[in-house]
Amino acid sequence: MSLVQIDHLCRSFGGVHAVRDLSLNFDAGQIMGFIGPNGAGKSTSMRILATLDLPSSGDCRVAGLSTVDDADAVRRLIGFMPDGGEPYPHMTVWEYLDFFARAYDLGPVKGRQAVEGVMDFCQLDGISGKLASTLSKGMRQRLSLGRCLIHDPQVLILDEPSAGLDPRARIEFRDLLKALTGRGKAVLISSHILSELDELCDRVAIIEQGRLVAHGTVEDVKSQARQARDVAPGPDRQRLVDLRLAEDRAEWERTLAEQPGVRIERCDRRSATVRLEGGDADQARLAKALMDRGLPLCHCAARADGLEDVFMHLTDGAVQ
Amino acid sequence: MMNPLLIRTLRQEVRNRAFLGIYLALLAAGALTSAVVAASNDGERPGQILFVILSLASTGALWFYQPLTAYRAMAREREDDTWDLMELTGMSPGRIARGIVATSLVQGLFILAALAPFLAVAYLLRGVDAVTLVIFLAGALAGALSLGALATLLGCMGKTKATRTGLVSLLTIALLLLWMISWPIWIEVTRRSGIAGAIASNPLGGWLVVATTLWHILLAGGLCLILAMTLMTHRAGDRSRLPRIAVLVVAIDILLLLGGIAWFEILTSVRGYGSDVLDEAAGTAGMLVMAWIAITGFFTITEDEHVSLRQMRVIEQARGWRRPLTWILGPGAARGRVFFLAASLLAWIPAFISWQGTDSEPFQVTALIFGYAGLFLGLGDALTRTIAARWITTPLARRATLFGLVAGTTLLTSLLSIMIDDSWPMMFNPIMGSASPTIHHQDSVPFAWCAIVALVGGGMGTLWLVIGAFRSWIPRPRQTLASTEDRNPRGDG
Repeated sequence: MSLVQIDHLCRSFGGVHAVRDLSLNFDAGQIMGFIGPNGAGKSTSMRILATLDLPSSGDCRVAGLSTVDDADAVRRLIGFMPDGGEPYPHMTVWEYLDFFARAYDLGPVKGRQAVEGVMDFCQLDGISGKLASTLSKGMRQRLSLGRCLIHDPQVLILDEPSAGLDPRARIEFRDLLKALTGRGKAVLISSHILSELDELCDRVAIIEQGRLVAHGTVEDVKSQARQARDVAPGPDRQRLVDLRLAEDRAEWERTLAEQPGVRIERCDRRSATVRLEGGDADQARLAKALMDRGLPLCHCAARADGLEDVFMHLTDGAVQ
Repeated sequence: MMNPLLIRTLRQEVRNRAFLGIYLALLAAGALTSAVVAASNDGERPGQILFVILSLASTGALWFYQPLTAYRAMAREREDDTWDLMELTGMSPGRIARGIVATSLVQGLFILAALAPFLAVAYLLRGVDAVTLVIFLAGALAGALSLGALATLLGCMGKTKATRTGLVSLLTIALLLLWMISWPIWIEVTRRSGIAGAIASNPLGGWLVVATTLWHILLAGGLCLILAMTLMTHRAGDRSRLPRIAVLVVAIDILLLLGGIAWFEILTSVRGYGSDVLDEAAGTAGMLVMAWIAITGFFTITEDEHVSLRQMRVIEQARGWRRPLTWILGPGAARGRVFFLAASLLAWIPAFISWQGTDSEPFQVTALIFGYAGLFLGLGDALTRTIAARWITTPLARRATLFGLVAGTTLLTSLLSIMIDDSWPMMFNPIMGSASPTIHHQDSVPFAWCAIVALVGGGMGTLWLVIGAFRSWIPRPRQTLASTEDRNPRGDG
């Protein structure tokens, strides 16, 4: 059994089905990316997993414990970072973490050690006396992560932790998460910055209108998307192809434009990127056609799909 | 270990200018008032004026400002995302509620500390005697504690902005009225010989009244805290035990209070009161307790038949002396029904004592109240668990149905009584739910009618409740699921 298991989870609000039959799982040391458009049901699923809401049917389990029937035990095992949680006013960084150490009933010695450990890990040492409300967004997110870690949970549930962070803060935050998986933590993270999840995650789940569209390792999901696209009819069956010539040719853009099923995305005298309708055979046909026209083609390769491509392909942006 | 909420709030308040401002303003106002009163010295006891001013200021701060602060603290905790974070820490609802009230009380103590030197001045100027001063301080703090608990309870209740606004408006008006009503008390205690004078003339009675008053102020606060804790308890958790204990505590309190009054009358009477006073007190206690158990029965019998796995663990994992306690305090409708029947014993016993004494009427009224409670609770239980079970699925809906049943029957029979000939109301009065137990006092309605309805209907209702308890005695666990009527707290999925 996986450390975190979501089984046939459903949640409705009145007539709106926020989550429909969602099932996924991930293990210790893994980062699971949770991707979906706004209103897809990510936050609702995360809140149920964090014991803060009840499912309409189905269940979530952490280390085999139900988030409904064993909520108290599960809360000891998870750290949750909601989207938009602000620290208390008039409290310093140290006091904020100390409050949560006391709230988790860690005891005076263990609590102090936990606060010091978390401040060290999240690099908050230099600002321990600063008022939490005066911190930058990046520092506040680090503080929130520190709060999540204060009781040393096995599972971290992070709802859009990178939202509003500048690139440096985002990279630093990503490094912290990588370090956490090195410590054996399981992380469920939602984000709209898909390139970041592409680099960070071991597994991803794509959700739309409450339904799971794809899930598995990042490579599996990309491959699923690629296969789906290759068998899809018409314009859905597209790929980005990078082309490069051995020498400059001013006239080749016109030649490219004449090829059937090709839409030029970018083109200069020696290289181009085109969107090609079709699969491998069509790509080979394009290469042959260009060489037949006397162009010294030295590179013709389909671009590897990123999560953004997969996401765009698998979802249609519908909201409920 | 100190309550984390208390530590957190104290740390925050140290940096909060509003609180420090109020503290310093009270200090300055106290100093100025003391100086003016001491300088004027035209009355016989200038300290009286000073004490009245200080008592108004301190009760204003403790009974008006502090409860509102507690309400805001609780409402803010519940409103913000921070509530989620606090819930996740696993802090028990009791610890959270106690933390909020303790914070409010400590803030109150700070305010009293600011005024304490000037109260001492009032005492030195002979505006107040030491006993009155001590009782005043104890009363002010007990009041602050209870009002803080009430505010905490209200702070838990508001789910939408509209309800929160409504609740805070109600609380503000109620606190303001309470504070204004208390003014004459403080003026009165300084005008004569104070509370100390009353106590000196009757020490035992005086101290008993003071102690009983303080106890009931604190008891009211305790009940509010229990309700707040229950509201904050996870839907799958045990939300039955504490309220039922509170029901029992109130019932026992009624018995002790009336017993205590009777005992005191016997002890201090010069007219030679005897057991008839005790019988009368027992009879009254029996009626009051039965009415209380009947009202709270609305809540205990309407719980869900099914229990969550967590609730089942409460029943199954109880060992030793705790196990029999779960038979009445355990979660679920089966134990709720047994609780109603068992708790009614607290009324039957004094009623029986009264019956054995000089007057049988209180016993008859107690029996009637039980009969009518049994009739309506049994009928409501049968209706909501069988015919209407498909539509009435939640405890709240069951309670509303029961209330509607009682109110509807009363209204209908009352209307019929008005519409039909004067001789006919007698026919309908016995089934006028809430009114009937008292109506038989009127000569026009034969007691036998009420007795028949109560005996037959109440007996059948009680039997239904007993059968229902047996049928679902072995808990059937079921996963606690969300209500489809819930509002999405985030709105964006």
